[in-house]
Amino acid sequence: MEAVFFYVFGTLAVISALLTVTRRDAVASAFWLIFCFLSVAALFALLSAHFMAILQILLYAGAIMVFFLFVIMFLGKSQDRVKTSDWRVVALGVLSLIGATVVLTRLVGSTHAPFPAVADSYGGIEAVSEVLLTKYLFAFELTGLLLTAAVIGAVYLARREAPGSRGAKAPVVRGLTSQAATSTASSSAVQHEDVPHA
Amino acid sequence: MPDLTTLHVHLGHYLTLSAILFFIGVSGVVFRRNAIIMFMSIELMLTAVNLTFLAVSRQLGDHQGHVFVLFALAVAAAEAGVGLAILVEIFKRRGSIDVDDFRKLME
Repeated sequence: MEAVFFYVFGTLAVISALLTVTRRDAVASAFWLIFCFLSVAALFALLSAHFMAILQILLYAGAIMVFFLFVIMFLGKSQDRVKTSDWRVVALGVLSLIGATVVLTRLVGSTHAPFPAVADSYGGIEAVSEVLLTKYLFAFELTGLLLTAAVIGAVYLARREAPGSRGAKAPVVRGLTSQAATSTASSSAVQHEDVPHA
Repeated sequence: MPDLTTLHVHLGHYLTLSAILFFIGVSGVVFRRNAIIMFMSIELMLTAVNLTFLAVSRQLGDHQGHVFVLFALAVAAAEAGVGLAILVEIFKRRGSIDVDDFRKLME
C-alpha cells in the first residue's frame, strides 16, 4: 500500500513540477508549485516525517507561496513576455539533464533493502525537537540570527521608497538623483554584508 | 492488487524521485528568464533536497535529517524574503524582471 501512495504522489509531484517550470503565466506556475509542495508533503508523511510534513504545508505551501503570489500580483502582468534560449540549447540542456538523472539513478538506486522499522514516535515533534535543542542548539540560535538579518534587510529595502523618503520617488531635483544612486550602492553593500551572517 | 501490495519502496526510489525533482528545478533556473519563476525553481530544488534528507534519515533511523530540513526551511524563508524584496526594488527601478534585461542595463 505504501508503494501505491509513493507512486501516486511521486507522479503528481513530478507532473506539477514540470508544469511549474513550463507555464507562461507566473500565477499558474505558482499554483502548480503549491500543488507540487502538497504532494511532496504527502511523501514526507509517507516517510514517517509527520512534523516535517506539517511544516512543509504550513511554511512552504502556505507562507512562502502566499508571499510569492503577493509579489506576482504586486508586479502585475508585465512579465508575460516569455522568451527562452535557442531551441538547440534547450534540447542539449534537456538531454544532459535526463542523462544526469539516469546516471544519478544508477548510482543511488542500487540499494534494495526496505526501510527499517521505527518506533511510533519517529518523526514527531518531540523526537525532532529533542535532537534540535540538544545537539544542534547553537545552529538553532544561528537560524534565529539569520531570520533577524533577513527581516532587517527586507525592512530596509522596503523603507527606502516610503512616501516621505527621499529615494527614487523624487527624481525631479538634480541633487536627489545622485542620492538615489548612492542608496542603490549602499543596498547592494548591505546585500553582500548579509552573506557572512548566513 | 496483490502486485501493488507486495511492492516495496526503498531508499533508491526516494532518491530517484528527488533527483528528478531537483533537475526539473535546475532546468527551470537555466531555461526561464523570468526572475520569479527562477526563484520558484530554486524552492523546488530545496524541496527535492529536503526529500533526500528525510529519506536517508528514515533509512538510518535517526532525526538529524529532520533537523537539517528545518534549517533549510528557515534559510528558504529568509532567501525568499530578501530575494523578493530586492526583486520588487529592481522592478520599481527598471520596470522589468527579465534577468536578460538586468544584464543589459548593468553595463
